[in-house]
This record gives sequence, structure tokens and C-alpha cells, in this order.
Amino acid sequence: MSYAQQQQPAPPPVEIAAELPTDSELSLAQMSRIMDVAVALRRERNLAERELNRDETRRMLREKLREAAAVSGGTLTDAEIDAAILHYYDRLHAFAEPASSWQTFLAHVYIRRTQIAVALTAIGGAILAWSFLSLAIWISPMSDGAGRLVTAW
Amino acid sequence: MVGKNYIAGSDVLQVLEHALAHARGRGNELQNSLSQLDQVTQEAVSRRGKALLDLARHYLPEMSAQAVERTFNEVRRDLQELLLRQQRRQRELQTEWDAALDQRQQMETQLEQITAELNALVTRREELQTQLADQLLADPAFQQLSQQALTAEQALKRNEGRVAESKQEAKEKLPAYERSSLFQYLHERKYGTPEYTCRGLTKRLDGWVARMIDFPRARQSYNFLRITPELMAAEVERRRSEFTGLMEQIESIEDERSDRIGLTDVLSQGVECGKRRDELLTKIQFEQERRDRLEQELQAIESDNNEFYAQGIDRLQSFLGNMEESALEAKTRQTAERTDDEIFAEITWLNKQLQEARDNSQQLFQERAAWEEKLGGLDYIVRRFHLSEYDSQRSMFPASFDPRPHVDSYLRGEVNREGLWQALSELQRFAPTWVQERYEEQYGGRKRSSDKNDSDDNLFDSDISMVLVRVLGEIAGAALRGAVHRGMERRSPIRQKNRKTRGQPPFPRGGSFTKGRGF
Repeated sequence: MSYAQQQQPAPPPVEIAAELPTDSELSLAQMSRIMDVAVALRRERNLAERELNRDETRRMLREKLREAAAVSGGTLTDAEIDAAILHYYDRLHAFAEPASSWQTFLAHVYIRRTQIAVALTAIGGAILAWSFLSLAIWISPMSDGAGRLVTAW
Repeated sequence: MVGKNYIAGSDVLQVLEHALAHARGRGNELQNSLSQLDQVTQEAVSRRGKALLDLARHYLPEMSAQAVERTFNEVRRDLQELLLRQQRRQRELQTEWDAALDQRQQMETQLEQITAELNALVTRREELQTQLADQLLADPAFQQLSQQALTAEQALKRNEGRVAESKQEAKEKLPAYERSSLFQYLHERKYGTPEYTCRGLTKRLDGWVARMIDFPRARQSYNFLRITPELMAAEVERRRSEFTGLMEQIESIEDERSDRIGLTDVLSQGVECGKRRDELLTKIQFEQERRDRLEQELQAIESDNNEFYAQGIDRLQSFLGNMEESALEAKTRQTAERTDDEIFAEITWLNKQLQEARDNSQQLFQERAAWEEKLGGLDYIVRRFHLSEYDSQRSMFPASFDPRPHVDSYLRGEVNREGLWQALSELQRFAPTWVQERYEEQYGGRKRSSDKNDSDDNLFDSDISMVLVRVLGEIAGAALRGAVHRGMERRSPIRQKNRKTRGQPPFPRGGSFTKGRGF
């Protein structure tokens, strides 16, 4: 929502503009909504700035790692620190499905419950229909041979 | 402008033009010799015809002799008519050729004038550009703005790199989220947001699935990957606008000072003059092609292989078919009279003369064709010299270079025209402009802009303000040099468009007034 507003910063957001009062007074609710939008915009811009300055973040991270290593009495080379940071960023925001287990199987069954229920209902309906059909053939005096055949099958 | 260690391109051009005049003179001499030989041949042919007629009169009865004379007169008339037609066509072509030559001479005079005008404008441009650069460097406001703009550009470049990285990261990592049915299930249900509406057991089971895939963190990362690159791009766009604003201020200062000292006017005149020169060179090229065609036609008419000659041969053959020379010879031997022997001796002598004249003519014709080819080659070299702008005052050759041996070698047929051109172009250099001189002063001998193989950061391929690029370069120093070129390239299309709108002259490619590098 707020991203779209940032793309066109000049006009105020549409829904807010429509509600702007004609007089100079703003209600507390309107004021609050405008503040929310401003805060969201600010937050997004901060996020963008932080991400644009990732080199700076990496530098700080490197410093902190070096300090932490010194405090713990260990020694880390620059190459090791850089490799660790690289690994961290590689994994950051990456998604991996949990390893297969009964739990994950059940979870997959659960999230597909509607489809499974529909499928089961369809199969049950088909069986029921078949049974009714078989029974109808069986009791019919005109088609003994066919009825027997169905029963035998 | 050309230092004492060099000889000017115009001096080399003079040598070429001298050789061209010499070749033209030699061609004319050969043409005159051919004309003289032609006259001799015509006389001999006429005398031989008369002698043949006398011989025929001597042997044939009165009636037949009259018939032969009448036929001979017809043949002669036909041949004369053919000759007249040939001469008329030759005259037409010659007149056209002369007109083309006059036209070309006029255009060459114009070219000389325009070249001189351009050289003067180049000198003026260099002076004013130096003056403008000094003024800009002395302006503290300009310096401050430049520093800000260059720093902004450098940050912009870094930021653009980060946006690209971020987009790449999203491209690589988002598919895992989109392929995960567990994640997509919760995401579609808006789990963890106020819009999630499930209650009771479903909520508990959804929570169980969410814990299994650490959904809150995954959703955050998913949103981050989807939205952040665009947010970053928007922020970069905003920063780009800031940079543009700074550059506009800088350009405005440059334009205002350029107008004040008269550089804008000089640029306008130079661009217009350069355009005229380029157009004139195209016209000269066109005229030359026309002359080449005329020359070819003239040569064909003068040679033995043309329509008039073929018609003449046919006509003569039909006549001589009735009066074989050998038959007449046989008849003379049979008779004891002396008159017919004398006539036949004359015919034999004339035939010998004609054969000699034909041999000489053939030799002269070949020699003249060879000179015509050399003349054409030199003409081509001179035209290419102009087109490559080697005749500009900035064009130079090493002092040790003497073009005459190369030209002589070409005239002797030891090298072809491409070989001669290569010998010239390998050694030709353009004297550095003030921009390049300053560049060399600033960066020492690391780069020599006048060197042919040096791209000089594609300086000659850019249609940007040479003053601004160099002034900013001096303000920036080595650390921000890349920012200068990138910044100028970013602004180039917009600035050119703005200048066009305001009626200001465009910045030509490489700062030159013409298509080449000489002006």
C-alpha cells in the first residue's frame, strides 16, 4: 500500500485525499491515518536506505565479529570473517521446506483436506452408485444372466 | 598548433596535389601525341584510298572507273559522316568532362575556403573553451556543486549495483517460497495477519503447520524479497533526481558563461560550417564519380573498340570486297607499265606507315591508360585525405616523414593506391585539443590522446560538453574520474534534447565540428 504511494509522492494517497476535510480542522482519526501512512513511508525508506547501504552493514558486521572473536580469545582471519558473512547473506531470506517426515506428510494431507474430501466423496458416490446398480440388476427377473455376471465379478 | 617536430597535413596535401598535377600533365601530353598520330593516320588513310582509286582507274574500263569513283566517294562520305559523329560525341563528352572539371575546381576552391574558415573557428573554439574552463574552475559555487554532483553520481552507481544485486537475490530465492505448498497455503489464508479469520481447530492446526515451517520469519523474508528491490529502485530514482538537479545547475552555469564569452556562437558557426564541409565533400565525391564515367566513355570512343569504329570497318570491308588489294597487286605485276608499279609502291609504303602509326598508337594508348589509372588513384588519395580531414591544421606527420618517395613509388607502379594510403595514414596524427593537453598534464604520460589506438575513455565517441567533462575531471581528481564520465553520459541525451529545444548548438561527437576528428 505505502510503496505505491512512495512511487508517486506528490499527490496524497487516494483514499486519504477523498476524505480530506474542506476546513482546516482534521479529526483525530484522520490525523492518525495520515500519521500511519507517513510512518509507513518512513519505514519503507529506511528499509531501502539500509539495504542500499549493505556494504556499510557488512563492514559493521565484520567489526563486530572481529570484536567478538577477540573477546572470546579466538582469532579469526579476515577471509574467514568474510566467508562467514557471505554465508550468512546467502542463507538470509532463503526458504527451505522441512525435511520429509510423518509430520510433514500429515501437514500436506491437512492442507489438502478439501481436495481429499472432495475426492473421497466422489469415490464413495461412485461406489454407492455401482452398488445400487448391481442390486437393481440382481433383483431384476429379466436379466438373470447379467445379474449373475455382475455378482461373480 | 602543429609543433616543430611535425610537418603539417596541408604540406603533405601539397605534395599529393603536385603529383596529381604532374600526372595530369603527363596524361595530357600523351593525349596530344595520340591526337597527332591520329591526324597522321587519317592523312595516310586518305592518301591510300586515293592511290587505290588511281590504281582502279588505271586498270578498269572508263565506265567501271566512274562507278568505282562514285562508290569510293560514297564510302568516303559515309566514313566522314561516321568520323564526324564520333568527333561530335567526343566533343560533347569532352565539354561535359571539362564542365565537371570546372565544377570540381570551383568546389575545391570552396573547400579550401571552408577549411580555412573551419581552422579559424577551431582556433577560436580552443581559446574560448580554455577561457571557459578557467572561469568555471575559478568559480567556488561551481566547484561545490560539481563535488556534490560527482559524489551523488558515485553513490548512485553503487546504489544501482545494489538494486541489481537485490533483484537478482529475489529472483533466486523467491521460487522456493512459490513452490512450497505449506507456505503458499498459509500465505493465501493470510495467516498471522488481521485478515486471517479461521477459528477453533483449524486455527490450531494452521498454527501447527506455521510452526513447522517457521512461517512468521518466512513470511517476513518473502515480503522482503518481493518488495524491497522495488523500494530500493524507487529510492535510487529519487536520488537520481537529486543528481539531475545538481547537474542541471552545473550545466546552466556552463551555458550562461559560454553565452557570455561567445563560445556558443562559435560552436553554432562551427557546426554549421562543418556541415557545409561535409556536404561539399559529398558533392565532390559525386562529381568525381560523374567524371570517372565520362572518362571511361571517352576512353572507349578513343580506343579501337567502339561503335563508330565497328561501323567504319563494315563499310570499308564492303567496298574493298569488290576491289581486293592483292588482286590489284597481281594485275600490276602482269603489266609492263611503270605507272601502276609506282602507285602500288605508294600504297605499300602508306600501309607500312599506317601499321607503324597503329603500333605507336597502341603503345601510347596503353601508356595513357596507365597514367589515367595513376591519376585516378592520386585523385582518390587526395579525396580520402580531405574526407579524413588530414588537411586540417591539427593534422600532422612526423618531421622525418617525406611523402615524395612514397608518391614516386606509387607513380612507378611499385605500390598500389591502398599501399600509398596506408603509408600516409599510419603516420598521420591529430594534434591534441586543449582538452587532451590538459588531460595529459593531469595524468602525465599514462595516456596520450593523440595516439591512434588510444580510446581515451571513448572521448571521441561521446556527444558531451568537452569543457564540462574536463573541468569536472579536474575537480574530481582520480578517485571520482569514473563518476565524471558516467555522469556526463547519463546527462548527454537529456542535455542534447534541451539544447535543441532552446535553439543552442548541439555538442558534436568528440567535440568536433565535422564527422571526423580534424576540426
